[in-house]
Formats: sequence, C-alpha cells, structure tokens
Amino acid sequence: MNRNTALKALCCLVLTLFMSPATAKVFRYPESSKPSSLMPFFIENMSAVRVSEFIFESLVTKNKRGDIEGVLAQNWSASPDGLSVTFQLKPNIKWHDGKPFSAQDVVFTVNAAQDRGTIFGLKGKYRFIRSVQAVGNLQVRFTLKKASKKPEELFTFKIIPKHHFQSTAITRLDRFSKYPVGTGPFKVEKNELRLIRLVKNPHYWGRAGIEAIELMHTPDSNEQINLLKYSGQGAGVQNVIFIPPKSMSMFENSDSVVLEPYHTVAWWYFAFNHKNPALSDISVRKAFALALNREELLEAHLGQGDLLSGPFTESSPYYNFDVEPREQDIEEARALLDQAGYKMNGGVRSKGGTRLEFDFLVNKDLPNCQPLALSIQADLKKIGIKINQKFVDNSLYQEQVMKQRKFDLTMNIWSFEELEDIYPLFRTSGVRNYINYSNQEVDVKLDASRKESDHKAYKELMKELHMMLNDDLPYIFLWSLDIYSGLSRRVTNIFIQPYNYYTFFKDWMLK
Amino acid sequence: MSSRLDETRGWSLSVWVFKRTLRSFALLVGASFLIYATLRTAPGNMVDLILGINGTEEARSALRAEFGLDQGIIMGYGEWAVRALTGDLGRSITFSPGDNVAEVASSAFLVTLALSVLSLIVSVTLAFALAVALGRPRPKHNLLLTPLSYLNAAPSFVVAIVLTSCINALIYMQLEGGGRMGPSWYPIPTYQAISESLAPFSFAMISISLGDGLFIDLFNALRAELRSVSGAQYMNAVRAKGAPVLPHMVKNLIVPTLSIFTARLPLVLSAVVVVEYIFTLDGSGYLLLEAARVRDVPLVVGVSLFFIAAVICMNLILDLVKAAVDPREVTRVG
Amino acid sequence: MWAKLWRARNPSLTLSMFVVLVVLLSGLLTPFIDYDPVEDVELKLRYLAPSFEHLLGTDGQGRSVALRVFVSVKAFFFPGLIAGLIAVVFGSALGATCGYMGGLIGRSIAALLELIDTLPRMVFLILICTIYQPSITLIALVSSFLFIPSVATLVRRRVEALGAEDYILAHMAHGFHPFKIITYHILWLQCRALMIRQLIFVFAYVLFIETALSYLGDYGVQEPTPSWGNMVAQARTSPTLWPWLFPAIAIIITIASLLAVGDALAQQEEEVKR
Repeated sequence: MNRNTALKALCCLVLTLFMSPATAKVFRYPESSKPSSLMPFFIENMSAVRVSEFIFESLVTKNKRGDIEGVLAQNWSASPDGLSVTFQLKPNIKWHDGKPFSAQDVVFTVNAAQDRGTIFGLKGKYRFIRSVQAVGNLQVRFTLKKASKKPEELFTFKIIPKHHFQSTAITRLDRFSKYPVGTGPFKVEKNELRLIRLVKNPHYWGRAGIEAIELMHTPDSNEQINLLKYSGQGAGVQNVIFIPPKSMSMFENSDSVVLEPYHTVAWWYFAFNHKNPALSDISVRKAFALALNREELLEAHLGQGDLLSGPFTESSPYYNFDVEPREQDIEEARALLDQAGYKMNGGVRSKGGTRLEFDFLVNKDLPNCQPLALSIQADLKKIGIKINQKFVDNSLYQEQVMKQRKFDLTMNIWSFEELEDIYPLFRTSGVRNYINYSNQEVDVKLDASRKESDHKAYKELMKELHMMLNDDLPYIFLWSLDIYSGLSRRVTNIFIQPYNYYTFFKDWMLK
Repeated sequence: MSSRLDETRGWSLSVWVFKRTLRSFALLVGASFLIYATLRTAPGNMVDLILGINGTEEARSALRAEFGLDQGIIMGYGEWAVRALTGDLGRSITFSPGDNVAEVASSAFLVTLALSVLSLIVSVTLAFALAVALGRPRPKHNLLLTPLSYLNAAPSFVVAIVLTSCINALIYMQLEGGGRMGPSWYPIPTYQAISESLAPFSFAMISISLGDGLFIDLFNALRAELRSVSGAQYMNAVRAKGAPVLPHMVKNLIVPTLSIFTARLPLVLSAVVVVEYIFTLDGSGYLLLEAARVRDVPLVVGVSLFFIAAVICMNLILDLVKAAVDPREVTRVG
Repeated sequence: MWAKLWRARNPSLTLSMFVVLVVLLSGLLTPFIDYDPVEDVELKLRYLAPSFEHLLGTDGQGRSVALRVFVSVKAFFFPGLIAGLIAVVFGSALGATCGYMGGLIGRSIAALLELIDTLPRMVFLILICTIYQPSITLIALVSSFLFIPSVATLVRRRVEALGAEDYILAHMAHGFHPFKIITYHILWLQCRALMIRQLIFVFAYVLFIETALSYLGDYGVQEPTPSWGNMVAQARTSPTLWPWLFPAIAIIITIASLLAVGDALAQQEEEVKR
C-alpha cells in the first residue's frame, strides 16, 4: 500500500468522526434572513413571503398564465354593480391539525386583519373590504368600498384558522408566529434557531410532489453557494434563490446544478435627496446621470439585465420605449457643471460656498454593493464630484435614510408584486417618497392616474410620466436584472413565481 | 493609608462570603443595565424595522407601548430586572417572535460555553504536557518555543480561515485533482447541526485552542507554577521522605490552574463569538449578532446576561475555592 | 530600559523589536503617501499572482496587495496609539488616585472600574458596532475605555505597595506635594515599564479588534480604504490566496512582535524587582 492510499485511509478513518448522513428526500434551501414571522400578517421580509407559500393558501391566486384561479374557492360571482362578490368554497378542506376549513375562517381572517389591535404594516391591503359575512359553511359574501370590475383579483391574501386564536386582535408574539397552522401543502414540523422543517400535509386537498422541506438560515451568501456546490452528493442544498453574478460562472458547466432565470418586477435606482441645495439643481442631477457608465457597471458587477430610462421594467405594459436611456458622456457632464457655475477646485467642483461633495449611504444587503459603489465613486470623480460612501446595515439604513432622511445620495431597489405603482414614490409627500421630491406637473399627472379607470388611458399616463421622470431625474433609473436561481438537477417540474417564488412548489419533484 | 488599616482588621469568613456574593450580584445588575441602556439609546429600533415605511403614527405608538419602548430607560430596565429575577427574560420580538428568551439564549449559550470550556481544557492539557515534558527552562527550548509563540499569536479566526483553506486545498488536491466537487465523505465544514456532524464544532475547537496566544500563555503560566511548586520547601521534605512527588505537585496545582483558567475565560469567550460565526454554529455569537441587527432588545440583553453571568460566576467560584483552601489569603486582601 | 533589552542578545526578541520599529516607521510615514484607493482600481488586472510588477499579487479589484498592506498601517496606527494613550493615562490616573486615597472615594472608583471590567469586551464591541456602525477611531476609543480598569488595577496595586515604602514616607515627611510624589516618583520611576507594556497591549488589541470586526460584518475600516482587517475579509470571496494571505501574515507577525516586546519589558521588570 503506497503512501498516498495510506494517507487517504488515515483521513477516512479520522474523518469518519465527522461523517454526515446523506439526506436524500428532503428539499433544502438557504435564506439570508430568518422569516420575520410565520404568520401571514406579520410578513416583513421576502424570506417570510416565500415560506408562507408552503403553509398557507388564499381564496384565489394567479396561475402560470396569469389568470385568476380558485385555490380555496371553487367559484365566485360578482354583483352587477361591482360592489359585492360572493365566493363558493371547496368542500372537505382541512387545516393542518385536521379540523375542517369553513367560511368562518375567512370571515375571521378579514376581521382580524382589520382589527385595531392587530398591528402590522400592510393593513392597507385589506382596506378595500367594507364588510364580510359567512353564508352557511361554504359561502362568503364580501361588500367592497369601491366598485371594481374584477374584484376577485384583490383576494390573494392568506387565510388563517379561527380556532387558533382567542380574539381578532392578534399580536406578533402569539405562538402562531412560530408554529402556524394553515391549509397549504406543507406543515411546520420543527422551528429551531437556524432551521425550519416542513413536512407534507397529510390532510391536503390537493397533491404535493416533495416529502419534506428544510429552510436554513445562512446569512453569508458565499456559504449558500458552497452548500449548492455539494448538492450533487445528496447533502447541501437544492436551491439558492439568488445567485450573485460573479458566482454564476461556477455553475455554467455543472452537471449537478442548473441556472434558472426568472424575472422580477424590480428595478435599481440611484436616488438624490432633493433637500440638498446642490442636488435640487437639475443640471447637477443631469451631470450625475451623464457621468455614470451604467453599461459597464452592470456588466462588471451584476451580470445581465436591461438598462432602464424610467420607473418600469421592460416587460411592464407601462414602459415607454420611445425614451432612450442616457449614455455616458463625460464631456457633456463637465460642460453642464461648468455652465451651472461649478468650477474645479482641487479635484472637487464648487460654486460659492457649496462643494459637490456628498454622503452616499448604501444598504449592506444590496448585492455586490461595495465594488459597485467604488466604481460609481470613480466615475463621478472624473467630473469633479466627490462622494463618501458609507455601508450600513438594514436597521440603521431604515432609520437614517427612510425615516430621518439624513443622506445626500443612496442606491436601492424597488420591487413590486405585480405592476409598478409609482404614485407613492413620486407624489409630493407620497408614502414612499423619502427623497423629498416635489414636482407640480408630476403630481397633477399622478393624481389623474389615480382616478383613471380606463386601462388604455392609464397606460398613456404612465408612459407620459416615464418621459417626465426621465427628464426631471428624481432618481437615476439604473437597470433591472436578469435574476438566476441555482437549482439542483434532481429537482424537476420547476416553475418559479417571480415574486412569491414557491407559489407552484406543489408541482415540483425531487428525484 | 486608611485602606491598609482595614485589611488588618480581618473579617470573619462567612461575612466575607456574603459580601462577595452581594458584590457579584451588584456587578450583574450594573453590567446588564449598561447593555440595556446601550440598546435603548441605539438608532433604529424594532418598531421602525417592523413597520418600515408603511406604518401609521398610531401603529407605531401602539407597538412601542406593547414592546415597552415608550418607558424611560431606568423604568424599562427596572421592569426587565424585576421579571428577570423570577427567571423570565421576556420574549423575542423581531428575531424569533414569541420565543422565550431564556430558553433560546440558554441553549445557544450552552454551545458557546461547551466550546469555550472544551477548548480551554484541550489547551491546558497540551500546555501542561509540554511544560512537564520540557522540565526546567533551558535556552535551547527557545528554538521550539519562539516560532510557536509567533504562530500562536494569530487571532483564532485567522487560524480558522487558514486551517480550513489548507484542508480544503489538500483534500481537493489529493482526491479530485483540483475539481470543484469534494468527496462525499468530506464534511461540508460549515452548516451542519451538531446532531448531524461534529466537524464544524471540532474545527472551531481546534482554532480556538491554537489561537490568540492562548496556548503559549497557558504554557508559560503552568511552567512557572510547576517550578515554584517543585522548588518549594515542603517538596524537599517530601523528596527526603522518599514519597512520590507527583501527587503532591498536582494537589497544589489545582488552585493556580483554576485561576489561570478563570482569568482566560473572558478571552476565550470573545474568541468563540467570532469563530462560531465562521463555522455557523448555533451559539450565542451568532445569536448576539443577528439579534442586534434587528434590534431585538430582550434577546440581546438576555444573551449578554449569560456572558456576563458566566464570567462573574467563574470569578465567584474561584474566590470561594480559594477561600476554602486558604481562608487567610482572601480575608487579607479584602 | 530599551538598552537592556537590546543587550539581551535574544535573536527572536531582536526580530520582534525590528518588526515593531518597522510598524512604527510605517505608521509615521504612511500619512504622507498619496495612495488613492479609487484610482487604483483596474478591473483587467484582477487576482494576479505575485510577480515582479505586483510584488504580492492583486486583489479582486486589480489593486496591488503589497501597496495596500503597507498603506493599511495608517488605518490602525493612530487610532491604536490614541487608544493606548487614553487607556494608560486615564487608567494610571484613576489607579493612582484610588490607591493613594483609599477610603470611600477610592473604593467607589474601584467598584465602578470593576463594573466596566466585567463587561465582556468582544460582546460589547460587537453590540456597539451593529448598532452604531462607528468609525475605527470610535471603536478604538471604546476599546480604550474598556481597558482602563485593567490598567488602573495594576497601577493601584503598585501605588498601594509603594505607599508604605520608607522612602516615599520620607518624601512626604519632607513636604513634597503628593501629586508630585505620585506622578514622578511612583508613576514615572516605578510604573513606567508597566504603562508602556499596557500601551503596547492596547495598541495590539485595537489591531486585533479591527480585524475581527471587519471579518464579522464589514464593520471597522470601510472600503475602499485598505486595512488588514477588510483585506482578510476577502478570504470569504476570493478564489485565490494572495489578497488575504499576506495581510493575515502581517497581522500575525505584528501582534506577535508587539506582545513579545511587551512581555520582554515585563520580564525585565520582574528581574529588577528580584
């Protein structure tokens, strides 16, 4: 026996101590953050959105083609005036604990959501319901505050069981946040510090292809990639939600992992705080936009995507293809600043007492934000603008940028569930307008769009707004990314829902 | 000076024990208050994190009241302390909603404590063996000791990084010819629950035992103790009698070893926090970091409490043992 | 004191002193070096192995590792020095006051110091970092604050021991002002080596903590400014060894040398006392 094999044998012997059992039939995937709560009301991060798809169901949902399909509801009918809708529920549906599902649960869900004692951020989603009533065990009638042509589209919220709660006022500290009970294809078996294990729901009314799921809290994304690399041996994970572009080359020719693209309704932007006197000058903003080489930034740091000229993704019905994204033009940028009166002064331009030096706050959670910020800094330096970047974690970012608005520049992503609603972003004092942006003409158009019920007219308004916002530059609209997930080749029949991800998971199979 | 007069008065032992225990308790209260105050004055709190940009003012104040964030710092601490005395450390709010902090923190801290204690024991044993083996200090020992002390000065997580990189490189080289996939029996060095595989835990333990100058530090201290014990007068008497030397030496080394152990425990606990993170162990380092990220006040204070309590308890135990062995020594120093 | 160390003819000690000297000189020189980390980015030259042009290779942004390792001294040098000075100055002052005055004031100061000493350093620093995300200078200041008790305790013991010595009592009888006795006779003449040793120790600790925090969560010195800490953090993402191995070696050698010099000073003192 030569030295090499002896060494191998010794290693084997020593490392038998460390052997990990092969877990063949479990679908495992890592998440960067723990789900904020397993209770649908208290969903506050994407991790929670995804995991709730396994556990809970709604009355209706959008199927793969985009049409509304009944899940807990069998069929529905809207009144002619569009102010009420009645749902007929499917019979013989059971909760995870075996108890029967009925109309009372639906009524309870809505009442709990609207109860003043149940405090959560997305209460607005339930405001459209004026009242709800159970008609027998399998029928629910809703009356709405405003007439709607397709009211069923609003009923994609998850239903929770009445018999697990004392009252309609629910606190996030309720045991249900950790050990939920739903009607979905999977139920929670254990919920530990870093691991949540779900098993097939024995009472499920439909069919699910996979036996068990394990969600692992793995904050480091490089760790996630490592775990995916080992999926060929039956250990590791079978799915990584987001593969950072620099890791994609690792899996291009892999025989155990496949890269699945999916398109989210999300776009990156570079924001100005319009309270800053220098940044409220449109010439300065235009100079910023002309200084950035967005194509290079995208390619070098993030991979593939589309450069955008407005607040929509290219696949959105509202995108205005007549508006071209700006290209880098350093000379033009410099000329603009010269004209505006900002003269070079030791590498940084200034006019009067104002220097073009800004604080650039970036959320650490943004993929590849460090090299990206570095390149942006380098690009802006060329035209005499100095930016000081500071990377902060999410809590501090929420506090400083979103709440206190103590920043000059920032970069972030807006993501939308289905279609972009830009009203709260750009309306003066809009809920999501944290950049202190105010433009009268834009406000007029936004208000008009809110009242518009005709689809075609709405689209036209959006396209006009696209052009106006590209001119006035509240943000520099950067790009939307082609997002890739990594999946083990053992997983088949895959269909990824762009926002909720695991909506169609019950069709997935694991070899 | 007045302080010296106090010492010679000589308190009785039981009074001393009482005072010592009281002092420990006061330290516990003071330190936990500092942590609580730090968190309460932090920018970015739980409520903003939960409601984000969507919250109404009404919702914010309701949540703030629910989580006890609307009270003053001292009042808030007082409430927390009163409940803590009964063993109720509150419930986690943003990190793991509804979970009992005492349960979560204690099970995580068990991992951290186990790692620290085991690493220390391994390090002490190795250092002791080396000290006994080398015997009296001689110049040629420096040939071994100097490079060792240099390498040992590496922070334990640097040791961890270098260790895992080297092992990874070796394994891949040996078996797969540099391919991307490792062998099926090679444990993924990170993320395994302890029930599944001891590998991350063992790697972590090795890194801690070999880093932060711990090993050399223990070696020097133990060697000094060995010398002083073996050179003491009564040992000559033992040798003259012809009785075995070792049992006597060991008996007299217990207290010094224990104090060396206790003095290094805070250092090891600190090292564990970082190494835990590298090997994704379910310990309090991970818990502390993640809970602080989401400003989960009850959980952070709870976890910190365990850290503080561990150090205070060890010191108290050490003093009590010292008092049991030699009451004169403790009452003299006050 | 330094001369005695030099004469000891201990080769490893000489090496350590040499390294410390190099670090000191670098620390004083680097502020004058005009290194612009933004200019250095050259995406075409990423992850190169050591060569004649790039002595220690390049990192993920195409920047020269050797140059960055050298410039990184700036990141911890002054914060570490300031932290050390604060810890030693305040620690000695408090310790001396405590030891000299005794009584209620002395005991209450001692109690307060013990309280700060009980706080686990790493835990507290991690907390501060996740919450405030402070600059390296602030981290250094907080560290120095956490070290004041240990310096104070050592000084206090020394002051108390010396307080009963005959020559001190003689000085007091002669009418020397107690302040002068404490600062000159006790602190300067007797505690000098102790204080320098503590200063070195705190300096090394600041380096250590910057490394640990940069690795844990990108706290400490922020990109693009180089520091050994954030260079080692690249070990998580870098496919090659070079970007992080050399900073790691630099850290190990620096900390080891600093501690060796400090220990040698302590040993020398022990010998003098005997």
